[in-house]
Amino acid sequence: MAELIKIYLRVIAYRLYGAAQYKMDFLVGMLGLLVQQLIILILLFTIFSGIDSLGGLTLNQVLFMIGLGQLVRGLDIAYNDYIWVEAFGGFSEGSLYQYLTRPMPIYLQILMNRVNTESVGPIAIGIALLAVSIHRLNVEFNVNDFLVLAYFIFTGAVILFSLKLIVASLSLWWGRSGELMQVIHEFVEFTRYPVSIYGWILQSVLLVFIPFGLVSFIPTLYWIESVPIPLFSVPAESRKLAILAYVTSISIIYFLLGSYVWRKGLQSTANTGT
Amino acid sequence: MFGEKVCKVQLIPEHKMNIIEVSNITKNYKVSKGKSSFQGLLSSLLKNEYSVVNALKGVSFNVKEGDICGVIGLNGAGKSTLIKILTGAMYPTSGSCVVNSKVPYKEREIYVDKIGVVFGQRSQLLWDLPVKHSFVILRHIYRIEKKKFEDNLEYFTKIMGIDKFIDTPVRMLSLGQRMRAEIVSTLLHDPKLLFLDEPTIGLDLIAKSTIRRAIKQLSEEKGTTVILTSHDLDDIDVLCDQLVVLDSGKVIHDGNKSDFINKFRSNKKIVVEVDGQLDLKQLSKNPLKEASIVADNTYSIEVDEQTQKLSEMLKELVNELPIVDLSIEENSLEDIVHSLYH
Ligand SMILES: Nc1ncnc2c1ncn2[C@@H]1O[C@H](COP(=O)(O)OP(=O)(O)OP(=O)(O)O)[C@@H](O)[C@H]1O
Ligand SMILES: [Mg+2]
Repeated sequence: MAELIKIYLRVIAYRLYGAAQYKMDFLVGMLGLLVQQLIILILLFTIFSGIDSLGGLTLNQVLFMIGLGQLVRGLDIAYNDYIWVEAFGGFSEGSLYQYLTRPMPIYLQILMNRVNTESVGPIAIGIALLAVSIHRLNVEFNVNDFLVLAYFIFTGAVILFSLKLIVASLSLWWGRSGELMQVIHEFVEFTRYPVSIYGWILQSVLLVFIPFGLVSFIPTLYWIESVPIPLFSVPAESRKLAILAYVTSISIIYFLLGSYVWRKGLQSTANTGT
Repeated sequence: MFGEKVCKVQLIPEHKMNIIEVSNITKNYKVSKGKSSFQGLLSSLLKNEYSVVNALKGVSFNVKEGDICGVIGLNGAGKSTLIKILTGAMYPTSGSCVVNSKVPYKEREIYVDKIGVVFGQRSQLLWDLPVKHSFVILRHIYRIEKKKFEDNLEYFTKIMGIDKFIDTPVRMLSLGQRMRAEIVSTLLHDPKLLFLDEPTIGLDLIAKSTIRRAIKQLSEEKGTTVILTSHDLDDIDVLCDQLVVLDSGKVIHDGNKSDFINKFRSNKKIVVEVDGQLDLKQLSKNPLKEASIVADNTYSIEVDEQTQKLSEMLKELVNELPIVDLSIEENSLEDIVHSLYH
């Protein structure tokens, strides 16, 4: 395992070195993402110029939520972007065959194929928003809170990873599944606002079935006691624990589901040919 | 002195071990009858409606360590299917194989560390980046020591003649250049076995001969066992110790190359087109009596060069017949597959 991580890091470092030769692409891509972020923020400030809270969250709390979401998505784009190519191409032209004939786990090889340097944009904005909002929230944010925040960043990344893995695996049967991945990915847009503003149908989609709501919204509630957790009623004294348990179990369930479907898909192609 | 003796013992061919043992492998593909892939999935879940393609029907053969084994056959004969099973990418439906003391598809990750695979129709190199870049990444993947990597890079770059374009992006290479780079990329980790699925497809004569020479050299100097599939009989002629002919999923010939050369490659065909007015039976000596009819007024005559002289045959034909057109052809793969049945 340590050996594999070492190989992974070496290859990634070498890829970054290769990517450095395309500075123009990088700048254009970054600019695109930055503009996108700015539009979201401007929209948010416009909304909050008329109201004090959105779904029970103040501007600062929403900024915290968005910051966390951007950071997690930025990390996901950074290391786990190439799977889009395989999902859309359906592991085309024997790319799977190539992975199969190399002495490494297949998914790791897919990850190794690309580091998306454009992710620097959302990651930087995410960190900035988190820093500003934590500072302005006037709550005591101690070491434990930072550890919990780091944990939520991790579980958020696991959830995104697992959802993409499940959908990408389907392309091993269907030939391609990029379109479905795109459709599911659209639901991320709903997490720019607190999940509490939506009706129960959309809430259950975002909190159970396509659990993007657990990437940033539910973790944010860990620090905001005034907003109830949608769909669930939890006694106030065990609220923090409940949120941790909820986020943890959804991450684990989806991760296990993802690796199961992936393994089944690989087995199926080993029978039907690549 | 002592060292030399040991060496000689090892060089005796009888001592060579089987590095590949294939026994009775079959492979059936299920092809779903549904049209779109999604419908296909649904219908195969609900109704189990599919047709079966028997791509391999009980294939058995062995390959000795260090040999070059050619697998030839017409389109759809099962060559690529066989290679996919031998390289661990696919399970056989039944039967088994042991390669380099491993069952490829059961111990994939360990097994593939010691093999190299080239797939003629598809590039494994990074499209936008210089050739060298792909090599460095492979160095990490196969955990090749720096010294060994540099030695091998120099060695293979030389025998494949790719030094001139090693810093050129792959997308700017010609097919022949790319294929040579492709082969180098699979050799840097010193594989014990090299699998080549149609390495010479679409290449010109010069590129083909460079690749053949390099494979030959590789086999002689490094002792690498090579399995290659091809449509090109010249590949077999120049390279192979062993020849396996596949037809519709069955082995119809398995043996050494010289048998094959004697039987088929020394034979030629003379194809003549004669003036249509000719009445064959009227001829005193009839050189066409052994001929088969290819088209209207066009005949093909087999010449076995071991018993007949091509030049005498030609002289006879030209003297006797009102010839419109004449050509000398080698046996094609189709001819050989056809005659192996008789
Ligand atoms: N993934 C697959 N699914 C279904 N059928 C397949 C699949 N791959 C190959 N076949 C079928 O199996 C048979 C053998 O194919 P294979 O590709 O092994 O032949 P080949 O000898 O490599 O042919 P070629 O010379 O055209 O490369 C063919 O009838 C082909 O249509
Ligand atoms: Mg083939």
